[in-house]
Amino acid sequence: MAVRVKTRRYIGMIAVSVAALALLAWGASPYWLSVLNVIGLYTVVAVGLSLLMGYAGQVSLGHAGFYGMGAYVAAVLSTRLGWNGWLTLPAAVLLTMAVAWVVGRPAVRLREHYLAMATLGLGMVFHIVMVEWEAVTGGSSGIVGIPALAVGPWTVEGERAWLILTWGAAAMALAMAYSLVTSPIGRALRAIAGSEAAAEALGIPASRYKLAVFVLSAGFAGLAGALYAFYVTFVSPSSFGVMMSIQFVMMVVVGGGHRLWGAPAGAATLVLLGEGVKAYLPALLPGAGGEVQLVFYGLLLIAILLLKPDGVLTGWATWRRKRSGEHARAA
Amino acid sequence: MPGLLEVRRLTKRFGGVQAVVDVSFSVPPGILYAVIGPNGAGKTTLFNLVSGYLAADSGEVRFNGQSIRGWPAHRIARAGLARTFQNLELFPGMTVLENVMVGCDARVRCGWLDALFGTGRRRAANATSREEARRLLALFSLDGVADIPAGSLAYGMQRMVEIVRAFALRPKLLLLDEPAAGLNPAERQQLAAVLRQARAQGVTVLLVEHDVDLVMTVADRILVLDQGRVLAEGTPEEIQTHPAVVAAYLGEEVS
Amino acid sequence: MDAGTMVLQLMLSGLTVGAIYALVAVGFVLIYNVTGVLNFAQGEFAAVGALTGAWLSMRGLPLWVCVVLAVLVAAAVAAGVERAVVHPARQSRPMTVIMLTIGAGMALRGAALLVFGTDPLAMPMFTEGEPISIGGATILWQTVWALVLCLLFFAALVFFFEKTYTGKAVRANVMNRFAARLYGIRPTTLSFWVFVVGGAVSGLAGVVVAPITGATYDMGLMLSMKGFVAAVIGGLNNAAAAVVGAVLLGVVESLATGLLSSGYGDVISFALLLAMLLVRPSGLWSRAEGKRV
Repeated sequence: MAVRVKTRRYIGMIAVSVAALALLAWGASPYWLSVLNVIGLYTVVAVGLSLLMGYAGQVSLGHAGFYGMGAYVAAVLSTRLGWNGWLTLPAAVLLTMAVAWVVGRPAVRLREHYLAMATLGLGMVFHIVMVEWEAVTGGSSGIVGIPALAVGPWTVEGERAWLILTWGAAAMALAMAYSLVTSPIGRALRAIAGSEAAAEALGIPASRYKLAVFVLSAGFAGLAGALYAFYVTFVSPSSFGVMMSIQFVMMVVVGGGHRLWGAPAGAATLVLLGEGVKAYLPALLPGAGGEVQLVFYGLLLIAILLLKPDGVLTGWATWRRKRSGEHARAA
Repeated sequence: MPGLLEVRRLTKRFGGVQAVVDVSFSVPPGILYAVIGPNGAGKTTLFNLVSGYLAADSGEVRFNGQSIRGWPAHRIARAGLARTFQNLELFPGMTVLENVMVGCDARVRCGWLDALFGTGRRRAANATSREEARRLLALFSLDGVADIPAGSLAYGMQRMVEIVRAFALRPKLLLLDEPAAGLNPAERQQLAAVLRQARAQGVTVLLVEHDVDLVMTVADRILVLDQGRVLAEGTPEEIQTHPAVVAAYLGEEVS
Repeated sequence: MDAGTMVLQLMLSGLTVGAIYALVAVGFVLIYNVTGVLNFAQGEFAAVGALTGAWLSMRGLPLWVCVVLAVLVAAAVAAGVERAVVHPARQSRPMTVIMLTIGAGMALRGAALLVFGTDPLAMPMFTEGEPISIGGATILWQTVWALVLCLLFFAALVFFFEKTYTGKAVRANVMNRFAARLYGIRPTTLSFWVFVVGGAVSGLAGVVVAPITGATYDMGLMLSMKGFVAAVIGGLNNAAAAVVGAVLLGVVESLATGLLSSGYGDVISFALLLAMLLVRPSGLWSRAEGKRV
């Protein structure tokens, strides 16, 4: 359960990751660059969600809604109201956080499934509003022609330039999450996950902390969504459905909610799985479409939760720990 | 002189069952006050009412001069009233040191923004809590197990850690819910030492206990509950000779 | 049609929808109170019932056979979910169990898509004939069926819990797991059977609504949502209150859809859920309770 944070190891991992990314950015084809960009954006969402799931013990089934909300706020403000693109980013973050606060406040005080159901419903409502409120959202055809982000004369265009923004955001999210979980507040969150009654007895306002984590995770999703809008230059409701919410949850489940690097790993796994299914499924099962994917994801989710509830990507870490003989710390 | 904790006519019903009825008592500062009574007498319910884990039907609870009835548990804790639980409630995945640090964290200043952006205040808060927790573990002779996950400790050891963790809040009043339950004689000795150490630090202790012998040796004053009502209140000597207590409860145990 | 008749008409169709929601909500409440699991796959059982019923009726089987088989298949699927997913995870954290039932729901939805395709399946009304006219508004015979079946099921439920030994044992289990053992019932056995019953009642909801809306593979998620909202309005621990909550939800939604805009019915029901959570999380009819520990 516990996060074993070893700063030195993290620095090593960061150096390796940055080097790998730089190498990929230099050598990869545009297709693989776009895959990397999407992984970066999803990492931002997954980091927030893993704080919520791994530390507050709650699950949100509506994070695609927050992601979509961030995207639409950025799109509407920059196209219809002519805002500077950069200014729409904090607006998107703050607005999603405000909505999350309103929805989360009553729900976190109750048992776990209230937040799950409330967010599921919220995600569905966002989707309906995106489709129905045509005057603002453009209905099911969405909003096109979102202007590029610019720094002075230089505009952020092309997959390579975007790597800096997407992975910059991912790095920032990871750094903030790391700083949070190694702070007194992170300890309090782990305490709440261990025993809510005891945490309260030590002066920790458990439901307020859970709400704060939920709002924070929504803010991360809103930021990722806003960046996504500028990255693809259009938004439409189909990108933000319930399935997307469940995919975000699966990223955390695959990566394991208690490890920070679980978020990028889970995001990468799900994106690559999706691309693989898109590329090879027609060849393997002619005529088969999304249904196989749905069954596959459903069964995968069940299998992981029943067989490897700490995430699939634990094998290597466990092996390393055994080798270095840290038996006593392995609880 | 007003007590540190003043309970007035506190009442709680569960459906038709009267768990605590019209209970009044006063805990003066600096003493070890014990609540005894047979199973189902309402001891734990009384504890949960005082510490904010249950809402009372009527009555008043004053702590340190303030009415705390209806306050949420975390606010009562911050006001200086710490408690332990009858069924151990340690954070099993965290080490003993981290468990105690959570208690120390109540007194450090580190907001959400400090935590997220890694300010110097966060670093200082971590250092302060760590240092304080190490000092406390040494004080209670638990420094040997500081880095062991709390969940893997022996049962009796977990009880001590829970008390030290509550103590880390630096409470004015420490509520202990049957701390001797499940302890072997050696561990009971250790517990008595921990209680003495807590009192030496100037903390008032309110103790719910099943073990009458232990209570008679450590308590300054005793409240006897029976079926949710106060049967008697007084010093151990007074309780031992109280006719109602002897008849109803102690008769077969203290002869 | 004047405004009064229109409102009456909307309320009557709300009643139909409400009866369907009620059957799903009762399944929710039953399973939740006996096993502690909030089953996110509940609506999928209804979809299974609807699709099975419609598919069989298109093969020319007598209608009552289709209905009975649909209910049985839904019950069997629910039993399968209990054994494969819920039972192995009975010691897990609530969050894990929530995600497991979601996984089960996705797998069922995908399987339904594989078997039945994307096109809605049609099912004949249980009774042919002209709709009944009440004060200018019309009511479908199928609505009468929905209400009658809902009431019958509910009567059976009340009889079971109030009059039979096993029913009393189940109630004991809700209050106290230990007490249930005194009745000689193992909690795991109980968990299995309550899924069977919860699956059957959802299957019934599906097969009753199929002639009105058609049966599609993806109807389950919305039904889960609505059943949950209804159950929350009722307080999550009272089947009768959940039924009233469901009818209320159906009527409110129907009025919102008819008087405002077609898309916003679902928005209204979600707003209702939020309002409930904010103001009365223990249900519209419950008296104020003590703080939970």
